[in-house]
Amino acid sequence: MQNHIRELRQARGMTQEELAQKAGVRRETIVFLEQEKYNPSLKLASDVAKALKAPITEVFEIR
Amino acid sequence: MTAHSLKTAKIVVFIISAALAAYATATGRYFWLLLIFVVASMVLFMLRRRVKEVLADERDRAVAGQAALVAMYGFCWIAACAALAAFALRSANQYNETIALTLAYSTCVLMVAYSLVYRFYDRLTHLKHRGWFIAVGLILLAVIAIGGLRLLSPEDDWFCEHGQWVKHGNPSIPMPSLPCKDN
Repeated sequence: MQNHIRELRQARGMTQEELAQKAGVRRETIVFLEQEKYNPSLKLASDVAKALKAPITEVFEIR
Repeated sequence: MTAHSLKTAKIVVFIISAALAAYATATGRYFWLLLIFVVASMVLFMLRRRVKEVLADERDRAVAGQAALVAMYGFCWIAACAALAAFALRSANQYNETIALTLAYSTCVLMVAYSLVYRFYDRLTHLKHRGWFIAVGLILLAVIAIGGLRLLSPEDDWFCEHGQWVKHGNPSIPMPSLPCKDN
């Protein structure tokens, strides 16, 4: 699964810590997500998309 | 309080509790052990409530589950091999048989407990009679624990007296096959 979390987060001027707080996860999980080393559950994917105020299909895409 | 300072506090609480528990055990004050355990649990619970950060998320739980599984399998294999070795070398030392039984028994208990807990979480959301499942699980574990205590209890065992094995109480294991030698 590919994602655009880093680009969207930076475009919104958010830090990893802020995004983690909004999505309800630890900062390390955001790091792993951005490096595409972890595939999130549907709920976490939805929470991250909500925190970035973007549609889930814009944040994640299945290769 | 931050998650990092909670980790430090946990280590401090563990060190103090371990030192106190060691002192209580050495001096035979077994009630202190219970007290130390309760106080330490309460302190950790109160400290945890002061942390506003997320302490564990879905990735941590996935990693923890995998780590627990590997650790459990590792322990079971090592304990089973050690138990077999201790049993094979029972003629070298009279305690090897007890060590082998303890290892084999603890491995079995761990596997049964894991199976029950796994089944519980696996079907947790679908269970209609969750209470029954917990009750049956607890009864099963209690039966295994009581049976194990009875099996490993030194009160009911074979003792070597004047070159003969003498039954003490009601041992669940047969008379040792090794010749009895007085020390």
